[in-house]
Amino acid sequence: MTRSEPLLVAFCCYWCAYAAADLAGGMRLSYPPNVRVVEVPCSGRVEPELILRALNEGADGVMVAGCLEGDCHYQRGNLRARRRVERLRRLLEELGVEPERVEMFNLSAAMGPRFAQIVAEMTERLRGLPPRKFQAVEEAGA
Amino acid sequence: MQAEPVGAVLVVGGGIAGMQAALDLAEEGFRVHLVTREPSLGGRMARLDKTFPTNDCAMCLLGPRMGAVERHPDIQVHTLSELVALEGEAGNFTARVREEARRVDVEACTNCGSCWEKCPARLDNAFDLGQGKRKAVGLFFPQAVPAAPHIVGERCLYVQKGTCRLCEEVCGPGALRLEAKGRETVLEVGAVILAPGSEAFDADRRGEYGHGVYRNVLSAPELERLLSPSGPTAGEVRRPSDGRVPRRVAFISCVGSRDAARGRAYCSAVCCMYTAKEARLLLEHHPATECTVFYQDLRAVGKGFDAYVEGVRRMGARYVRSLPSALAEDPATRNLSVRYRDDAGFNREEFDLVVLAVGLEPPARAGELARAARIELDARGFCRTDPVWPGRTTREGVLAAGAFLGPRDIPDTVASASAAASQVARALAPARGRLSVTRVYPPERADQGPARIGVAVCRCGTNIASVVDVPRVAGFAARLPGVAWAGEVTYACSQGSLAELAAVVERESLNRLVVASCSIRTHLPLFREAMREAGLNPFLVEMANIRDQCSWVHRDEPEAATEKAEDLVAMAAYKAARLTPLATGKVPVVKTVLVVGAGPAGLAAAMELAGQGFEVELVEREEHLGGNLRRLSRTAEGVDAAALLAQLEAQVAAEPGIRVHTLTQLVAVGGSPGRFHSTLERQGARWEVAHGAVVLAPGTRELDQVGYDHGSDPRVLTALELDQRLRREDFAAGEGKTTVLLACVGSRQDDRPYCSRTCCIQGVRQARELARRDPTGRVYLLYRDLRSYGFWEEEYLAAREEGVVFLRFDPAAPPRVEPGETLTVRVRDEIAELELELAADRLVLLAAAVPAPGLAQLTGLFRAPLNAEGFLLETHAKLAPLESPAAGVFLAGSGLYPRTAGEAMVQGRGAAARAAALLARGELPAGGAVATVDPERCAGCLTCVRVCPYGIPRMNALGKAEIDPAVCHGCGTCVGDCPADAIELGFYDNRELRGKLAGLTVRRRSA
Repeated sequence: MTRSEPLLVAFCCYWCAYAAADLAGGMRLSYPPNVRVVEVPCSGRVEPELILRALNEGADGVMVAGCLEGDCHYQRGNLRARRRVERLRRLLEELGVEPERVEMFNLSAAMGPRFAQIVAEMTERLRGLPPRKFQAVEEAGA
Repeated sequence: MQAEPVGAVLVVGGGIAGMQAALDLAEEGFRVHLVTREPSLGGRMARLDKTFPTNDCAMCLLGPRMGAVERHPDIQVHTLSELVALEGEAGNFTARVREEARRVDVEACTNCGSCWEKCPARLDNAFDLGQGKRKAVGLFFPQAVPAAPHIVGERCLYVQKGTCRLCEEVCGPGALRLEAKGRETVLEVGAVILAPGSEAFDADRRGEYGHGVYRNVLSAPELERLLSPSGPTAGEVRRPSDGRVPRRVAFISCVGSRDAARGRAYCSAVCCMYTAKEARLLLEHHPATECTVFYQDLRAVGKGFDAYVEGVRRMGARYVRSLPSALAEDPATRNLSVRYRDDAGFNREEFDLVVLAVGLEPPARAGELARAARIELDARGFCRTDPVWPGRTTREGVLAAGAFLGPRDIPDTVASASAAASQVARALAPARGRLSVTRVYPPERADQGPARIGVAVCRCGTNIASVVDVPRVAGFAARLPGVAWAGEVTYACSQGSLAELAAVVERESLNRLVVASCSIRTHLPLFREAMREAGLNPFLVEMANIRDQCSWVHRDEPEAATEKAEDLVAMAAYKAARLTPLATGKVPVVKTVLVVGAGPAGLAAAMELAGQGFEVELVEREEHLGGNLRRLSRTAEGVDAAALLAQLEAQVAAEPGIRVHTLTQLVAVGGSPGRFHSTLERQGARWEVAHGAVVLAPGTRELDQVGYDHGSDPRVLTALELDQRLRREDFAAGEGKTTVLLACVGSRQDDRPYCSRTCCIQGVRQARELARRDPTGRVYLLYRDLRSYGFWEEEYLAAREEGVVFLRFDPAAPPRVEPGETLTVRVRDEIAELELELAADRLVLLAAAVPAPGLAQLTGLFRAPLNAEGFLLETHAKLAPLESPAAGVFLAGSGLYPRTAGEAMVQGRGAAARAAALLARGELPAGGAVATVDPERCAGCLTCVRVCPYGIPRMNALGKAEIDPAVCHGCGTCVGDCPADAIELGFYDNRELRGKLAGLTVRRRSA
């Protein structure tokens, strides 16, 4: 069952995305169980190295979720996170790794349904990808 | 007042005003009782989806604020409660508070949701304004604080008929109290702040718009709930009649505002902007929506408001200056036909949905509250207050804050709450700290030896255990490296379990703890606190969220949920093994505040701070105190400016705690928040002052390049020049002259797009004054939008009654002025559609307010940012309007954005409260989960200096970055960007996060 499911790591900022994930629970929504949330104070805390580490540790995909743009609890950490994620996606592509494995999202604390939807969509997308090439990613992370 | 007042305060109202006042006072060392009639904190803001002009999610702002109030050891929240009597006098009141039965024990409840899942009684959800359903037992709203349900007695089968009791049966912790009765509590307090907020006008009272009859007519608050992603339709706006997405939507402004016939002559001040916001949100959801906004005057009187409305227009919203006279529903389609008149005559247009922008009214039970508190209301039913001291009620020791004083937006509400808190803190200063709670913890055990991790897996009654195989997870946890103990608990957060966990920590010599239960947001503070009491460093606790983010969302997949719970526990344990104890210290602060600018805002701030016992260095670049008060005849509030200034000057002179430095400028700033040392300069002489915080109150000046031959033609005056003349009582008296006042000179134009806020209301005041002094003369006021927001609308109405002629012009064809024997003013009146020619003896230019010169230089010293228009930038436009993102820097007055003198003084008092809250305890907490630079690895590349949102990293003499642990916010942006990996972040360090990821596939690999 789950063993064949893609493993998704979600770096969620404490203030909005993590709160949205909690709200999805509070609203008793349902989404695929293959996501593992790692909370960070701000999505701006997430560096490419950490995302690569997650892939190296066995994640098939990584989502970075911060506050809505213009709405960052720390003013603009989420904008820095987006820039880093975009840079990393270009790098992954050059390395022959599907850039869709890594994606940045913005959520408000009231967006429980959106969180559930994102996890479902991201999972669906990862299901459609071929088995991951670990070697290339490890080199990039090293 | 007696010598020693009571060091406790009663705050009535759980909205943003009540919460702000409570937090300010608690930070300053007072005990606070916060009383709210609702089952949760939050007030009106909790019902909003987003807030203008930043489109911030309201709940994102409010959630942390509600949590901070609930957790504060010096704040006691009394929900479902109201003040019924207030005896005694200022400094020593006895308040009787009546509490309605919640029928749920908040302490025992774990908010698991079993009760409302089983409850058979459904009713309309009052929080969603009757759109959607809830159960008789249930949460007020999903993010309610306290996070516990309440029972609506009128619909509970047990309360009504003595049957059912299902909720009691399914409640694991036994938190239901179905027999509970309401009770009365007596509180001894030194002062009272009333912040009961406001009520939305009942749209049914404007019968011609068909609300409550036509299904596709909504009030704006109803639409707001539909827009909310956690609202009844999960954020999808659909027509009530048929569930279709509306394509053509009309907004009708001023419903229950500017409506003297219904006793609502005043303007509600917020509707123009929330209408623009709701239109924008609709357009964001469905860009093809055709939004039409019917309005009278567009009152975008706030920072960034005009630009916001412009943005909404650019997104496609159509603004029609006309108020529809009636609506009719097509019985077949349920579409609404709106009849209105515009430039082209009468029109009829069909819409799919009509939204009524209802105004704000006094709170429903204002009368009862006023009687209980023995204060007076004004003729409108809002709190009667003093124009110089907005917030003072008719009873000493009883203050008011927020929309109870009159309609206002969120930042003005927050400012008024801080201002009220400041006045209370001043009155009760001798009792500060008397009743506040100080916790004493046992000494921390040294962190030595290998990790011995304890893992507690919570069943949360059946909330987790009914989905996740808890014994299996606990068994799995016990086999993880470094885990010395693992076990199940029924409710980890119950007092009994916490004591048990502390005992296990002791017995098993644990030095790390993992609690696998619910959310870090709600529960990490609790477990940290418990471990601190057990002698463990609070940062050695980690959580795994196996409820909100696991059992609750994977209810149909118990095997996958159990596997996920095991993974989350492994990740938490791997992180816990790598956690390091973090020191939290205190750094002493200098209890002196530097106040820059001695206009109304600066003077008010200085007086409040000195009254609370702080030393104040008051710096003013001009020769005299007062700023623009020196030039005005009256403030916008109608107060004699010279008399007010004389009073303020006398008060400042009598205050030994204030050192006044006129003709003085700030030239250098050193040190850090809590311990600044700044250099002042007066006529070449320089000296240094030490201060813990700074209040920047720089003010504005009137635009000088105004055109219209101003400066060469003596008949052309600016508003301030007219006011200086009006200071002489005989000026213009009985002269029989014609005066034309021209609004928006230099405002709302391409190079200065903002509205200067005060010109319209000052113009109305001047026009009335001229009309009074010169009954045979004529006064015209030419405007684009008459922005007499709030109660100033009544002044505008009075001016019209008194014969002042108001002519609206189109900014595309502004009035032309031709000099001659008289000044010929040609204007096309948009209402009468006539080209008019006015022969004026005097032209008064209501000129823009621009930031004071040298502001960028001043703020640069503190690294306090400015916005694009050159005004001070606040930390947050809504909930932190008086703070700069630069730590230790507080803001007040027109330097933030143009303000009336009365508003500026409220901000000054509010900024004083915020500065006092920082300095009152004499020390700043430092350390904890903050960033630290490893000087060995720092390459001095300045990346952290550049990326820190708060400008906190500084380079030391060795060329290495340094981060002050007392002011670091702990976001980790610098850590994420540091190319040398030289910055560590407490609790979220690379070692810890990489460790957490290392736990990701432990289970898979071991299986």
